[in-house]
Amino acid sequence: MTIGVALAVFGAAIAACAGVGSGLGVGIAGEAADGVMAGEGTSFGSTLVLQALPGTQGIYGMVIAIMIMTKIGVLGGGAIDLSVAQGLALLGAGLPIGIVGVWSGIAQGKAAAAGIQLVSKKDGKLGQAIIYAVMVETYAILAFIISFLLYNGITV
Amino acid sequence: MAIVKMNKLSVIGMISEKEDLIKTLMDLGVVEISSNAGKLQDEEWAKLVEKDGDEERVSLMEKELSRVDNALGVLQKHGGLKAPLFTSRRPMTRKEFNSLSRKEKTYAKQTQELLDLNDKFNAATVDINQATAQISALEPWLTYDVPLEIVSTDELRVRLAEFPPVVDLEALSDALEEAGCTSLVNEVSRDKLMCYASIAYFKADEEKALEILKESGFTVPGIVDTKGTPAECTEKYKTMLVDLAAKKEDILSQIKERTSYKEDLEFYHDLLTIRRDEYKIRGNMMNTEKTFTFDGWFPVATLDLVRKALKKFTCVYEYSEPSEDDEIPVILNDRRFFEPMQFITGLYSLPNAREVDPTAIFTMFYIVFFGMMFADVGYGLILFAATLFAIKHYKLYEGATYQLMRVLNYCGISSAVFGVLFGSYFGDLITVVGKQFFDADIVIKPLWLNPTESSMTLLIVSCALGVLHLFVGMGIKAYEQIKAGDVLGAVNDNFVWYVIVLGLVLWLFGAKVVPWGPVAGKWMTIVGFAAAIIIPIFMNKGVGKAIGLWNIYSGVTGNLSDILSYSRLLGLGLASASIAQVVNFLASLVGHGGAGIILFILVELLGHALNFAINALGSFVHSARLQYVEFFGRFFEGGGEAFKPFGKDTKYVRIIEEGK
Repeated sequence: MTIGVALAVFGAAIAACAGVGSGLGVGIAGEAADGVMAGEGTSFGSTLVLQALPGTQGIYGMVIAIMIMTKIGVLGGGAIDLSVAQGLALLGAGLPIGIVGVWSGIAQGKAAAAGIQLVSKKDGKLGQAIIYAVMVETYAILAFIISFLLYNGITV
Repeated sequence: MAIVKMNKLSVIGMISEKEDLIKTLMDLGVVEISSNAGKLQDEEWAKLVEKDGDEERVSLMEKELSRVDNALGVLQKHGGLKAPLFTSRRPMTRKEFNSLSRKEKTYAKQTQELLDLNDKFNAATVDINQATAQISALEPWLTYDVPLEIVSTDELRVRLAEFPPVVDLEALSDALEEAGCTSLVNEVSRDKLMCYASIAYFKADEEKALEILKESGFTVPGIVDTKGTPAECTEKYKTMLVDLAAKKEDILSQIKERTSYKEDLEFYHDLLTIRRDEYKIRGNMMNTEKTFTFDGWFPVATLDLVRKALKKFTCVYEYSEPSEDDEIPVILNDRRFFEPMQFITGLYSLPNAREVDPTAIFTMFYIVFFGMMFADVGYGLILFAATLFAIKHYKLYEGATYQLMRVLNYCGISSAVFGVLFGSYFGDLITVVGKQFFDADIVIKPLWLNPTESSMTLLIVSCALGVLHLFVGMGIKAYEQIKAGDVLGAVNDNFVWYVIVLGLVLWLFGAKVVPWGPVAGKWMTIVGFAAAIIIPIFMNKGVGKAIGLWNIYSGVTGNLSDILSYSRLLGLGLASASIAQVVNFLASLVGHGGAGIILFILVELLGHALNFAINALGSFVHSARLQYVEFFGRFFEGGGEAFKPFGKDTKYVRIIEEGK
C-alpha cells in the first residue's frame, strides 16, 4: 500500500466522522423527545420525525467515505496505486462533510430538540418545527456537494 | 387559484325564531358567525344588548360528549378494535341521519353499558392487584402454622414481627430475658429484605418488651387477614385470583360482544356535537328583550343561498363588502388538481385575504423539486402506489391526510419520471443483479444525464430552475404592487433584478451559448445597477434617496444566496442516488452463492427501506423549504385566519345534502 492510498483512507475516515455530529444530534433530540413523551398528547410519530432529522449528516459522510473507498479500491478489488498528491486530494475531499457534518449535526439536534418541545406544547406546529431544523441542514448539504464535486474532480 | 371573496353579514332577528334560524344556518353551513367580544366592549352596544349563551347547558353537553369519547376509548382498548391508520368520515344522507337520530336513547344506554363494564373491569384489576400483593406478603409466613386470629391467650401475647435481615434473634431473646421478660422468639423465615419471626411474651411485659423489640427495628407485617393460617389465607387468595381472572375475561368478552356499538356511538358523538354547537354558537350572539343580533361572514358565491334561507324568517339583514380594516377570514379555492397542495400552503400559513393564493403557482415547482431530489423509478413507483392504495383503501376524500397523500402521489410520479431521466432504478440495482447472478453486463442508460457524472450540468440546471422559481415569485410581488398602484416600486423591487440577474448570468456564462452573450450581459447588468440606484431617488425623500446603494448590496447577496440554495436539488438528488448505489454495492459484497442470495435480498430490503424513508422525508421538507424561504420570501405575507363556517362540525359521519 502506498502513502497515497493511506492518505485517501484517512480522507474517507474523516468523512465518516460526520457521524459524530449525527450521533450527538440524534441523541440530543432523543432526550428532548423522551422528556415530552412523559406528558400526554404528543404523537410518537412527530417526535420521531424530528429526532431523525439530524441523522442525515452521518449518511452524507458515509456516502462520501464509501465512494472514496471504492475509488481507491479498498472496498471490492485490490487497492490501486495512488500518488501522494492524489491521496492528499482525496483526503481534502473528505474534509468538508467530515468537519461541517459534526457541527451542523449537533446544531440541528438542538434545533430539533426545541422543535420537539414546540410540537408537544402546540398542535399543528410540526411543519414549522421541521422547517426550522432543516434550515441547519442546508450547510451540511452544501458541504456534501463540495465533497462530492471534489471527489468527482479527482482522477485516479 | 384564488382566495374566496367574502361579504360581511349582519342579522337582527326575533328571539322566538332563533332556534329555527340557527338550525337553518347550520344546515346551510356557509356562514361564519363572528365573536361578539368587540361589540360588547363598545359602550353604546353594551347599553342595548347583552350576551347570549347558556354556558351551563353547553358544559353539560360536553360532559355527555366526553362520556361517549370514553366509551369509544373502552371499545378501542378492550374491544380488540384496531384503530385504522387513516380515518375518513362516513357519508350519510340526511334521511339516514334523521332516522338514526331517533334512537338516541339506545345510544345513551350503550354508552352507559360500556362505561359500567369498564368500571367493573377496573375494579377487578384493583382486586387482582390487592390479592397478588397479599400473596407476596404472606409468602414468608407460610411455615407459620398458627392461625392468625390467635394473637393472645389468657396470659400470653403472640406477635408476628419483621426485622431488618441482619438482626440477631438470639441476642434479642437474651435482651428480653435480661429485661425480665420471659419470651419465646421463633424465626419463621429470612430473606434478603427482612427477617420474619413470631414472638410470645407475657401480657404484663408488653410495654417493656415492645421497647426492646423496637430497638431491634421491629415492624408489624403488612398482612390484612385475621383468620386462618398464612397457608390457608394464601390458598384463599389463589382461588380468588382464579375467579377474578375469569371475571375479567368475562367482562372483556362482554365488551368484545359490544364492538358493534362503535358505529352507533360514533354517530351519537356527532349528534351530540351538533347539538352542543347549536347552543355554543349563541355565545357569539347578543340579545335584547325580544330580538337577537349577530355578525358574520359568507362567501359571495353563496349569496343567493343565504338570502333564501334568511327570507323565511322575520329578520332584518344586510351584507356588505369588507372594509379596509376588517380581518377577513380566508378559504382557498383551487382547481381539483391543485387543491391538495393547499396542505403545503397551510403548513406555512394561509395567505391573508388581500394577497394572491400561491398554491397553484408553486404546485409544479414543488412536484418537480421533489422529483429531482427523490429521483428513482423504483422509489417513485412505490410512493405512487402506496399513496394511491392509502387513498383507495381508507376511502380518503377530504382533510389534511387526504391532501398529503395526493401531494405524495404526484411526487411519486415525478420521482419516477426523473428516475428515468437520470437512469436510476433502485440505484443501479439492475446492473448489480445482472453482474452478480447472471454474469451479464446490463447498463440502463439515463434518458437525459447521469447526475454522478454530469454533476456540474445538474448544478447549473438546479440553479437555473431556482432563478425561474424566484422570478415567478418576484412576478407575483410586481403584480400585487402594480395592482396597488405602486408601479415604480414594482419596477425597482422586481424588474430591475430580472435585468441584473439575467445580465450577470449572461455575462459570466453566456459565452457558451451565444458569442454576443457576455457583451449583452455586461450592458444589462450596468443598466440594471444604474436603474437600481436611480429609481429610489424619484421614489423617496431625504436620506431615502440613497437607498439604492443598500438595495444593490442586499439584492446581490440575497439573490446569490437564494439561487445557490437550489443546489440542494443536486445535493439531495446525489444523496438518494448514491446511498442507493452504496446499498447495492454492500449487498453485492455479501451476496455470493446459495445462502448469499438471501443475504443479498435482506441487505437490499433493509438498505432501500432506510434510504426511502430518509430521502422521502428529506425531499418533502427541502422542497417545502424552497417554497417557504426562497419563494414565499419574495412576496408572501400570510397570516390569514381560516374561514370557519358555522355548520355540522362532525368527526365520524358526513351528512350529504340531497340534490347537491
